[in-house]
Amino acid sequence: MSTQVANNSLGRRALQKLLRQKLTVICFVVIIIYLSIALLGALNLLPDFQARVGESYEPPSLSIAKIFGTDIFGRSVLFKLLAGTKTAISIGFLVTSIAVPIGITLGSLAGYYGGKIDGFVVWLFSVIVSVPYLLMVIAISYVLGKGMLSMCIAMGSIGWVGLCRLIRAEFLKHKEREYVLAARLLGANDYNLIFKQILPNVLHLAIITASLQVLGAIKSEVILTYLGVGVQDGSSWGSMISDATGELVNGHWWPLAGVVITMFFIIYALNVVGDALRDALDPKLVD
Amino acid sequence: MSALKKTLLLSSLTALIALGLSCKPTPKTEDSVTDSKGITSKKMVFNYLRGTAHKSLDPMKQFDSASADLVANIYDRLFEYHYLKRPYELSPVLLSEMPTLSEDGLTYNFTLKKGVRFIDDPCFKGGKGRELVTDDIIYSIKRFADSNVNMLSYMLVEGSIVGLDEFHAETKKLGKETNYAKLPVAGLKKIDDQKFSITLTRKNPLALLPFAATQISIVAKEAVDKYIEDFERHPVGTGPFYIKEYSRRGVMVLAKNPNYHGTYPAEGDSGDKESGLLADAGKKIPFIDEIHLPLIEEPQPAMLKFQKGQIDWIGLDKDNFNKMAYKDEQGFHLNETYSKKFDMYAEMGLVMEYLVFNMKDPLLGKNKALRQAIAYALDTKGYIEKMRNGRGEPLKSITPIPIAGSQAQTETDYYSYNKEMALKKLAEAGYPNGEGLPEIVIEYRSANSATRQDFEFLRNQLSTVGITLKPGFQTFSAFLTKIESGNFQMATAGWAADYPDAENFYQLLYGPNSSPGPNHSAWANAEYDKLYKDSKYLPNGPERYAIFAKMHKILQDEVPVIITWNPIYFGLFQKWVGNMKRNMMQDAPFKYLKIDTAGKKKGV
Repeated sequence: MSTQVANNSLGRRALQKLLRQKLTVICFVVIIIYLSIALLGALNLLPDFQARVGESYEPPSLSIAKIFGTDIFGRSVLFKLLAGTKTAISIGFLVTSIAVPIGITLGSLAGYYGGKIDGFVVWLFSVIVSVPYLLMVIAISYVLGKGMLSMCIAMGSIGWVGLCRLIRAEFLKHKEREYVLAARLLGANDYNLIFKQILPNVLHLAIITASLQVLGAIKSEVILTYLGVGVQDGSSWGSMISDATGELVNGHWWPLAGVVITMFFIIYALNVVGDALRDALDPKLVD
Repeated sequence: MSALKKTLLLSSLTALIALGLSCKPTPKTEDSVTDSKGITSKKMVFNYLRGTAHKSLDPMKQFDSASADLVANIYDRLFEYHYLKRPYELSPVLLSEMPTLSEDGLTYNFTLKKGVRFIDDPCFKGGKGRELVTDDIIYSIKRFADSNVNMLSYMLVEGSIVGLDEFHAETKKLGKETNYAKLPVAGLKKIDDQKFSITLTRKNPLALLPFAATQISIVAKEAVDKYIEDFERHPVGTGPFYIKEYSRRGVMVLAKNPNYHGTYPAEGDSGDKESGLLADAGKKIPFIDEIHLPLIEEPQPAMLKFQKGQIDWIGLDKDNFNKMAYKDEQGFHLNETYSKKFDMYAEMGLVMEYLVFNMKDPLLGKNKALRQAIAYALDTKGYIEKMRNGRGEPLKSITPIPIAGSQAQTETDYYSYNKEMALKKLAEAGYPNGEGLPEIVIEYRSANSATRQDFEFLRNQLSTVGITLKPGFQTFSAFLTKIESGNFQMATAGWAADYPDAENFYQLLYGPNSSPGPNHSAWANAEYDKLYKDSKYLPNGPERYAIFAKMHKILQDEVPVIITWNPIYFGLFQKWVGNMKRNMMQDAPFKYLKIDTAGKKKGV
């Protein structure tokens, strides 16, 4: 009970701390804007990026559709960026929603029970991290078949390792603490100890990791699509960067500029928010 | 000494060492050569590049162009396609003259050129390369037909030489126990050390063409026996160059074979003399002392190196074409800035691009009107203009335009963009305005930017008549697996001539050639197959062209494939490169090229 109170208090204080930082608030707003675009995309409310709005490779102009110019087929680069935002954000959140529960569950079980369970989990993540991340994702994507969903499953099934190690280490520390021993003496079972006593005290790590996971997944999608194993159909920032390799030679800089600007804001915002969350939620750093 | 001074001293020392290391001169190769007469001259180095790493330098095991380009310069074949003459015709390489044909038209008699020697190598007695003899030819043909060695290209001679198919089958049975000495081939006969004959199963005007393929290069048994598995990295040939430095993913260096037997062609096409291409007629080749071949996989770094003069010859890709060249009514030209520095060629490829329908697909295979609708909905001309900068010609027959038997001779016609007809055919197919038509998946062999853009163009085209396309971007191996297993609806495809004859293209739809053969559509038409067999062994001429026209009509009506376009290939070369004439059957004709070393030094 006392732990819950402490947590609520920590959460409140963290929120207050976050709201005091102007940059963090702005970055929150940026993330919300991107999320809204993704949501509009999911509801099919974004403009059709396949529609022709002008001539081939028109440079940026003041019309909304042409603010980032047009591509080879005369399609709006802005509309492609918006469609790409939907793709990137969807992947970011889908991957996180796969990786975080796996990381938390395996980390908690390994840290709490130790022994053979711990041995197995450590072996499992050691094997996974021994293969370079992108190679592993590409290999799994090939097995599952190309496409957005298989890419998300591939990234999610590898992305839990970092969080799992953190949670396991925290559980190893916490399971010997007085409040856990006290709860055990009072008759709490393993489920209660893991999920109601220890986990709430290490959950801030999961929140921080999740924010960075979204960022990592977005970057990975861009890289994988650039390499040709990511998004197959539809708009993606990765495919736009890939197209730009040839476009730049001919002086068509605006599609790449559009992607770079769009990516910059979301990556910067997620980084700032991730850092701010770490500072705000780390009990050692709380005032 | 204070900590600050110590740090500064340490930093300065580190910087000096780094500076010293960075200023270390790069390994310098000798820049002059002395010939057998003791005359010293400037070394002629030709700088080219490899866009992909080769797979194998064992002639019989390779089937990729990166390997073939190297093999063609290290080994010799019996024939090659004449460097200057067009249309492409065979000319002897290891033979003293073209073979003679017996009266019955079944046996070719060959005489080897005298004085042809393998390059010096420890595999030979005393390390000295020995003279080429008939046994080497028979051994090499047998090795080519050995199914334990060559798993890729035997079809080039399949069914054409007496006893060779039986030999091929026997090697499959015997495996590692295969002993060529115990397996004679009736159609390969040694007459003496210089003479041999090849007997054909039937009269065949195309029978000699496979002997110009790099897969039937002539190898020495001693080298194969000595190097075994390493033979593909240790080539020993009679070719114009040998490998001086082997580096699959680095810089491969080829050096001149000082004892090479070849000479520059004495004859050429009309206009070759005027353009200086016959100035070296009859002279001993190669002229170049060394060829440096770094592996540069990306086009942009390669083009930057070319512009700096570090590469002597380069293909001109689509993006750089936009920047450096243009097309007008007179043809293709380099922009003024570049035309002062470089020369350009534009040569129509012996390549046919097409789209394949899987005739076993329940939707497309059974609906001829739907396939015709798609053919009408494609704007190939627009595609060439928009996506390929006009660097190609729409095809009206399955044969590329430079090959005899193409649209120039058959005077055939083909589908061109016609929205009304496309809609009419769609309605006939049971899908008026595309209503009720499911998505059609089209397979591509890569997922690069150009491929994606090609797909976008196609999707836009077909969407105008209500046909929805979905892409399947595959890796090359996944693409092949899908196509060969018949697990696809539609696929993009291209075919480059194995030899410059129309038969090589019409066989793509011959029924028995279904996957794993090249007929991936799995289309079979008895009338077409009969006409194909009738045309196969006929010499080029009105009779053969008339059969081609009939076959084309069947293809046009049935549409198992949509024939699209014939690409034109572009390249740039430095002004100091001499004897350059693009030969589409010889991608790396280094032995004929030369460098004006003085001009290169001056940069002109």
